[in-house]
Amino acid sequence: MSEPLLRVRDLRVSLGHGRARTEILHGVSATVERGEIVGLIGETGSGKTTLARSVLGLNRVDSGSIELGNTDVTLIPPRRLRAFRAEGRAQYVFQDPLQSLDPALTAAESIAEGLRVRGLPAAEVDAAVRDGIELVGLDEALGSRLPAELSGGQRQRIAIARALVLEPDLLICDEPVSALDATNRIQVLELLAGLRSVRDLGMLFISHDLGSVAGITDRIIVLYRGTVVEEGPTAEVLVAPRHPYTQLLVGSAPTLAGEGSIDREKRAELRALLAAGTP
Amino acid sequence: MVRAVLRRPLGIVSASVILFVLALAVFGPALAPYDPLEGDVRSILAGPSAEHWLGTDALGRDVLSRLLAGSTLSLLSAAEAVGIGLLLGVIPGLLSVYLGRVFEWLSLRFMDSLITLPFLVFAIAMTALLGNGLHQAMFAVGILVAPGFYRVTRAAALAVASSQYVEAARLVGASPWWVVRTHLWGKVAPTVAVATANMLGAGLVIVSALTFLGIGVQPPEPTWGGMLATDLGYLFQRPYGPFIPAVLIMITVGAFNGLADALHDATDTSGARTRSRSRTNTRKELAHA
Amino acid sequence: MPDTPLLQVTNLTVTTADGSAELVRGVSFDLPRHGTLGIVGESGSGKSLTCRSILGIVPEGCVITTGEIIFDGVDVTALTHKEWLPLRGNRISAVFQDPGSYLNPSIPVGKQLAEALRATSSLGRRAAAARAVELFASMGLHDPEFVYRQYPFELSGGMLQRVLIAIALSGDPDLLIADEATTALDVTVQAEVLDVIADLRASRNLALVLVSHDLAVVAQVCDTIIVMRDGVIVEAGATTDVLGDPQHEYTRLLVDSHATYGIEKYLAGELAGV
Repeated sequence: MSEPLLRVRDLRVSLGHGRARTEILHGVSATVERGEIVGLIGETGSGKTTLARSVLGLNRVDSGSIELGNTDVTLIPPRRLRAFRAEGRAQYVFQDPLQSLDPALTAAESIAEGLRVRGLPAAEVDAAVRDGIELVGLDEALGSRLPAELSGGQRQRIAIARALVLEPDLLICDEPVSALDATNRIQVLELLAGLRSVRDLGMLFISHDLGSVAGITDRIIVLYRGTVVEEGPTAEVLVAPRHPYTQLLVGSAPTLAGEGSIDREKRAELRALLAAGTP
Repeated sequence: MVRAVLRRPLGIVSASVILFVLALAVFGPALAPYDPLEGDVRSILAGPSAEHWLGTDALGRDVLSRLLAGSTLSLLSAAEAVGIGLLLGVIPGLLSVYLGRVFEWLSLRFMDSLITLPFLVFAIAMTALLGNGLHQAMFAVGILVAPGFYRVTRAAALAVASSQYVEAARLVGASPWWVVRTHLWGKVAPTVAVATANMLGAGLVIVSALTFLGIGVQPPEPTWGGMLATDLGYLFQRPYGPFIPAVLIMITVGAFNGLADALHDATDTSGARTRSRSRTNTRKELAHA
Repeated sequence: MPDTPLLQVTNLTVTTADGSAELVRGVSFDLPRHGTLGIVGESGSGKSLTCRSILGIVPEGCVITTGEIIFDGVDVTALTHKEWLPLRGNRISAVFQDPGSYLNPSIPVGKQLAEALRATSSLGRRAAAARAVELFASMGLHDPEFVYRQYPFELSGGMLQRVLIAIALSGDPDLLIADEATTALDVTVQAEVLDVIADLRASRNLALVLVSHDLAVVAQVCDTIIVMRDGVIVEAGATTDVLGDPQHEYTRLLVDSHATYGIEKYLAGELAGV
């Protein structure tokens, strides 16, 4: 049994200053193995993005550990964080490529940034950028375009290429397809699913869209108000959810057949249960 | 940036006026037909004539020559003040975003207190302190316009620093210096350019006001403001007198402001006020409609 | 006449102002009174532009070149700005995607609804405030008096959207257009908002046009559906027919992708939970 790629243990994170400081994550534990796509689902404000950002060292944590391979991210001193990030072991794909790509840089320049920061020679960088563009299924010529000149799907694929050229072990995708149209969404989801075998990397896929999660994840972790309320193989969690929140979530999603899979009364029941404060 | 400005009618007109005045300042004193300090007692307060294109003043000095000589001083002083302001404002503005909270707080409070000081009074006080020279006065003015540059630079830097692509850059290990070079500078420079053009106009107004009051320059040194002041004294004999330096000041300041506007329009990427929209822009907007 | 459709769009064509591109081309559909129509398509398909044409708020840079939009017997494409005033808000109303940007951030939401009520009726200040609280309650908002006093930034997306629906319905319109109204909401909140819309349909005999890129949302709410792509309608019909047996390849793509990227494959036949 190999060590998991990512092991989060009992993580507590608070955000805000002074009196406004609130605990967002209350002792969260999770793992991601190599070659596996783990879906992280939960409502807005549940702490999904905070968890993702903590893994990258973008938040200070109150307690707990985040082990990436054999490094505990929470123990890295601020001065060494930059060097750690330059190693590129964990990379991030943001939700909206219009915001995560510098509008003044061409696609190739954006992809190349991480490599150039490392100080690699230009020829190597160019070769890696070309490979990256090809890996995400785009034409090399698109590299010289600005983000505004690309479609939403192309932009997001450039953002993914940017993350991939650094050869990370862990890829964290935060709502990568939410801002995309149906056709683009499918392409990007297929691309992400395919990466599993191409690079043997592990992926944390954060989404509130159950459809995408159902499509490509192997396991699901459900986050509700800063705690993990359920986790397990995708099929299990979606077919037989145990926690009321998961039941409500899965049941609320509309299907092509019409209604969500549970009716209104049942939903109201679950909401009341949650409001009353289930463990 | 330069090309974009010159594509606009406002930019062309403003740049032309400024270049013209600049030419006057640089070449004027050499081209002046008479010595601006020497007066011809035989023709005092004369009207425009073939010998004196703009006439003569109360001491028989050729007005045109004085105007040309004064332009150098006026423009140079304005540039001096703006230069000092740029240096003292832009650099702290950029640094305030990156050097941590203490520096940020200190620089903000320092700039805030500078803003409370009134220009002319402070300039006059400075000349009392440092000596009655235009350079001293403009140094004072430079200090007082620094906060404007500071704020403009800081605002642009903050907007970029809090953007997601800068965060993405940090996540691949980019240093703050790298971020400034790659992402920040290209976006901050246009804003600073607009502020500079505006400040040059403001600086010129202040120089004219100071010299009008007789501060910083001793007569018989010619300055636009000084000429305006003396001309007002001879309003009855030469009613059109004050208009000459006044108009020159006005069109120069107007040209600087016009240049600032043209620069702003040329580099404004927010698209909020672009009057002419290209076809592609509309198409793209509607694609998200 | 109760049998004539409430809304009849015939051969609607919208182009850019300089005539260089047709953004909506030959779009025609009917909406019966109290009917529900779903418009599905991606960005650039022309679905939002079609809605804006129905509301008479076509953006600058676009112009309706041909076609008619007949709302209850009146061709709205020919109306002037003044003639639109009694129509918009009173007979046709709309909710859009990002609720926060449609509210004044410095005024409590209750006051904004009360203001809308007073604009469309003869209610006085107190009466309008009371009616606003009533409307909030009917939207399923708990503690409506509390919500009345809240500023937009203090409310969640789902609550804001319900506030906007309340404002949209304040003039008691015959037609409500919801343009991606639930897209930005969490799934659980979306379900609540869709419930509210369904209730309103029933209680007020409202006709509804629901625009979404999410096929499943449209499937849940609408009886008829039109699928748009690149400015034209590629498929139209009763929802169950279109989704059960899609004819056009784009519709088929959308339906098929639900098989892989939808929860249907896990829920086939099973009810979650109990």
